[in-house]
Amino acid sequence: MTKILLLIEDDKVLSRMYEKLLSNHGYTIEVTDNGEDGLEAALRDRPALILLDIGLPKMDGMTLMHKLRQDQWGKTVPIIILTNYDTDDERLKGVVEDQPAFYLIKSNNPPETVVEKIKEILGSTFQPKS
Amino acid sequence: MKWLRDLSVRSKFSIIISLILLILLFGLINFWIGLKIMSAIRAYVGGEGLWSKAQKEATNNLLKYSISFNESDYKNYLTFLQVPLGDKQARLELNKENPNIEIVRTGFIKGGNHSEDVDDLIFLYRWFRNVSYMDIAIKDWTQGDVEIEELVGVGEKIHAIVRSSVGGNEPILQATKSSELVPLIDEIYRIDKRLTVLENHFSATLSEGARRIRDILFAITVAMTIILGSIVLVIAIYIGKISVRVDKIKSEFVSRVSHELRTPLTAIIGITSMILKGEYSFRQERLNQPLQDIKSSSLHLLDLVNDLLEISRMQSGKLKLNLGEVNMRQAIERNVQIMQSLAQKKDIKIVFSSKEDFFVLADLEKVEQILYNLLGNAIKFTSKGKIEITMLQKGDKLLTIVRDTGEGIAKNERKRLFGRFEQTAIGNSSSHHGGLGLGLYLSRALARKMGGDVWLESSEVGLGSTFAFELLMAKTTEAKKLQKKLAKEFV
Repeated sequence: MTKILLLIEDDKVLSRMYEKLLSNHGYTIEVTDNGEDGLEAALRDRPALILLDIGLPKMDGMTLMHKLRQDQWGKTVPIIILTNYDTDDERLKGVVEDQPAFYLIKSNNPPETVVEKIKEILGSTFQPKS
Repeated sequence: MKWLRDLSVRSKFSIIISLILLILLFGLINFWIGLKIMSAIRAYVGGEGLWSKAQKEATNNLLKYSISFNESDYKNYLTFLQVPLGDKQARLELNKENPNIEIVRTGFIKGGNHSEDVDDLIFLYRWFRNVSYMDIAIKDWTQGDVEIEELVGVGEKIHAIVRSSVGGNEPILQATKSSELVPLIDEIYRIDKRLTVLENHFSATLSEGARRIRDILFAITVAMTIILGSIVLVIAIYIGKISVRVDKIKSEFVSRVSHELRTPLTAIIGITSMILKGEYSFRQERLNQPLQDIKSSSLHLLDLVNDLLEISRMQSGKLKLNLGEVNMRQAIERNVQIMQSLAQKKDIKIVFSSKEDFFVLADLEKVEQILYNLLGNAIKFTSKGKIEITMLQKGDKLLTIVRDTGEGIAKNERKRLFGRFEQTAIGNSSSHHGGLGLGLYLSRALARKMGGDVWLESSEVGLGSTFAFELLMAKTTEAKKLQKKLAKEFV
């Protein structure tokens, strides 16, 4: 059975690129381009992993992750943050508290690193602390 | 105070520096005048000393002469009399509307005054003769001269009586002469007594004036020190605040810029490496989309870099305009055509139906840049409905109105809409729309450089926004003025 991944990314070109990449590697990708739809899709479809951008319209990635962690299912779902903000950016203050599984700066990591990380996380028994 | 807030930091500093220079200049003038007045008062008091001494000596010699009948005493009396008479010559000349300074100078020198003090003496008399202390002192001096006149009269009488006895040796005749001289000698004493009072009053008045001026100068110096100190303090606080704000804005701007540059770079690097790894089929039709994406990302990157360069050029004042007559209808039509495909993708209609030609004085390239920005924003922030463009002539100006049915702009964001880096600082992720947020800042700055403006006419959250873009109509007086102004700037 193919695993469903949720990609929340507002840049059309990038979402097209990641979608192509991940479907090539056998994943089924659901894409949303804003935070509100992303949260709704996550809670409704319960994907195996979420790829989350931070700068998003309607609801930013940080808020989305925080809200997701309040949910019974959402608090354990692995989230890979895919952003171009640096870790010391104001917008990412407190990101560790919501325990993302991994943090990737998009421009500094080739697409295959994203695939490797997904495989690593989904293959492991990743369990965020409750 | 709104105009003060709207001033650029550079203008604010120019105003403050001019203010400080003005205060310093005032201080210097104040100091110079103060010194000159004090020096002049010192010279007058010194001059009065010489005057009194000479008057006393003249009186004594006259008295001596009236007893000794010795002609050399009378000559001494006349010599000493030259001092008050010299000062009188200066005073009378100074009272004239256009005094002959040479006459004044010889008068004061005759009065025994030091030649270097003469200018100060003249200065105080001419500029301050109506000031209370000086006025009283001059009255004393004038009265003193009246008394000297009387003394001269008495002296002449004594001289005449004594001369009539020359050659005669009879003791009886001598006694008769002496008895004639008695009332004149009494008169000399009376005159001297009156003069002593006047002399003392003259010096006391001027000394009192000097003390008063010292107090005033002290008060002015203290006030100036306080004002200057306060200004420097305010500047220091202001600079401190600005530097903190500038640091914050700068780091936010750098972070925003790097984020914006990374996004298209991610696509360019990511897609090319995927192509190289064989993630895409090498058939032309399969490569179309990724190659299109690489191209559009590269163009986006170029736009960002160009915006940054434009800002930098504008800040360093190197922006050059190529002014000419621009047909606004055609410029708008071209832009609408370019943006049409973008609008269609979002199912937005762009309406522009004007058939009338309006010519403005502007740089065509910059006009298109502004229109591109306004239309681009309207499309970016509108998800349904239409964008309407209209032209409206208002006197010497042409207004282009861009009205959308988009999401509108919240009140608290309106103030910072046209900010340079502030807008990017707003860019928290909840209102993320991409871009550096420099578009409106650049548009307004460019429009203003061309004698026009760009502003938010109205906006309502959920209903849309209306932006106005104003330019000068070609061939108007204002347009000619602008041409002249810009021609001067770029010489």
